[in-house]
Amino acid sequence: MSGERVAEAASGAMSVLARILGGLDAISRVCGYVAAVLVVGIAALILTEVFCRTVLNISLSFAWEYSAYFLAVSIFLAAAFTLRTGGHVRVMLLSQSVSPRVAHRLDFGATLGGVVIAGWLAWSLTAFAWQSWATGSTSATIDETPLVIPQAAMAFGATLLALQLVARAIRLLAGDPPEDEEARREFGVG
Amino acid sequence: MTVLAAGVVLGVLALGLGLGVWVGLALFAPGLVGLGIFRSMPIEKLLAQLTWNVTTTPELIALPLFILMAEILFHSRLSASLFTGLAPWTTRLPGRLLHVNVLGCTMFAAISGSSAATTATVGRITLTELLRRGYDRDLAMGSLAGAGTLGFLIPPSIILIIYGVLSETSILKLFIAGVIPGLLLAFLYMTWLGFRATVNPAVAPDESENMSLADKLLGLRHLGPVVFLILAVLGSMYGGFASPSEASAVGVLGALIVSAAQGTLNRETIRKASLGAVRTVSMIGLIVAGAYFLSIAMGFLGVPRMIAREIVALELSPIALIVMLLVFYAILGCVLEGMSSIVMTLPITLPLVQAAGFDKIWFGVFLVVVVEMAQITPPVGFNLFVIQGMTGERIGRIALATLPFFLIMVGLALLITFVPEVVTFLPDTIRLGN
Repeated sequence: MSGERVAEAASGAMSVLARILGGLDAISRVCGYVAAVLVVGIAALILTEVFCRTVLNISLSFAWEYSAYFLAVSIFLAAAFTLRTGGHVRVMLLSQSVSPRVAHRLDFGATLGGVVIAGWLAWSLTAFAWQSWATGSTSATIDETPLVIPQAAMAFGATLLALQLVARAIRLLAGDPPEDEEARREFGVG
Repeated sequence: MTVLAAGVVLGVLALGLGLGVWVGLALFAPGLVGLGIFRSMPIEKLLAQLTWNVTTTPELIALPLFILMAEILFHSRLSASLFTGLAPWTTRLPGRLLHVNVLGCTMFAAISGSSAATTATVGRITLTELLRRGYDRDLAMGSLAGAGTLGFLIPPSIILIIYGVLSETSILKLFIAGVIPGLLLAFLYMTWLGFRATVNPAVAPDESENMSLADKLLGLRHLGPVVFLILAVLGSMYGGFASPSEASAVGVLGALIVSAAQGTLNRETIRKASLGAVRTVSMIGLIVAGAYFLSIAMGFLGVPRMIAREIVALELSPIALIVMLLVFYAILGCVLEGMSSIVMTLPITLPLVQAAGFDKIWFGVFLVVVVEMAQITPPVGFNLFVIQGMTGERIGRIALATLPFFLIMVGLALLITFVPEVVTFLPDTIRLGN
């Protein structure tokens, strides 16, 4: 009787956890798509700039400024999605030359190391964005873009990466595959 | 004190990478630990400020756009038309269609900034065709792996963009400097293929599809899309009306036009290409940010200065220094992916090489050749992985097939060391012309 209840409670907790991980995946994916749109946006901005400069003889300074923000934001916003689909490179030499059991532990250790570094990065970028917000700092261009906007997006991306690494550690503990293999095959082009 | 700091930095770096922490994250660790122990400074502020500065560098904008362009072309029929257009012209060369690997990669490298993308895009058609027609398996795989590396050397080049940003060198000049060594490497590969086919004609099956000159000329129209893209990208840069970043945007537009003309442009292509691109952008962007933080942190800790002092104390001749670096990078390239190995060692090696009297532009090209070597050395070599994905062959077999091409590359590295003019001639001449 009590054993059943424990099992029930455990499976309930597992399903909540699974839902959280699934939600995190969905957010990572959406952010990946947004970052992809930003990369296409960079192409559109620079093309417009080339056209205006060479044909219309108008200079579009904001095109360069926004492109630079788009790039910085897309790098971080897509980082969690890239991790989940196995897109970040790592050295697998050691883990390939040991037994699967040891390799699994190494992977867990590497993931924890990743959590610490990504967490540090997320915290520092958040504080950075917060300070830009508090002091109202803007870009040194005529557009005077509030820097908190791109910086907060970067901080959000870094936080998502840290959370996705935590999720990865949980998956490793649960014995689930840590990468989304289907997505990896779909986008795994040089 | 500095020795201890250097030990901590290198130790943490080796531990992180060895454990398998993702390179883009592992590069941050030595700086965080080293500065935390040896310097009292606001590390978080430094970390965020440096990350922000380097990821918003305007010169870096060319990076996502060249990657996006390559992704769009990967989903087009460009590689098939490249094969059809080039194949008739190789029938009289010893080794026949094997040369299509080299010629195809050389042309594709002029519109692609990455080796893996060049290998994957060109090889998708050429390797299948060569193996189907019964060409020597080892030569077909080896020449593809070798020639695929031209993607980094012949402009545009992702590695040269990153090197330009980190070393504060003109990316345009770096692009110009890569041209002659790239063409020379392609020529050497073709010479080797010709030599092998002359010694052992069995490597190339006897195909007598003799086409008339008129047919051959007509076949050239298949090269139209590639030539159009080369003109769009390189033409706009060297014509002087576009910066590398602008040229990359023109390239994206060109790729979209080619894809539309070939009937492969649809929502699915755009979705796959942009998502594929953003994954690579994120991976590389994180590595660039980590490398930049590492280099500044090492500077604060005095590590490059100390190592430079030690090396100067060895009283090596400049040539001996470069040969030492060549061996060092070749070993590093076995365990690390090439771009990572460059960005993480640059803060130490660049000042050394400059002190020995070498040119920054020259060193950039030298490093690219070295990265190309890393690209085809096992156990970690991205071109080998790409070919493994296509053929299902063992990495060891592919690496062995690639060995002659690796040695040719070592030869090129030595050549540009002893005759630096091979690299510096073109940028110097064009500078005079302006």
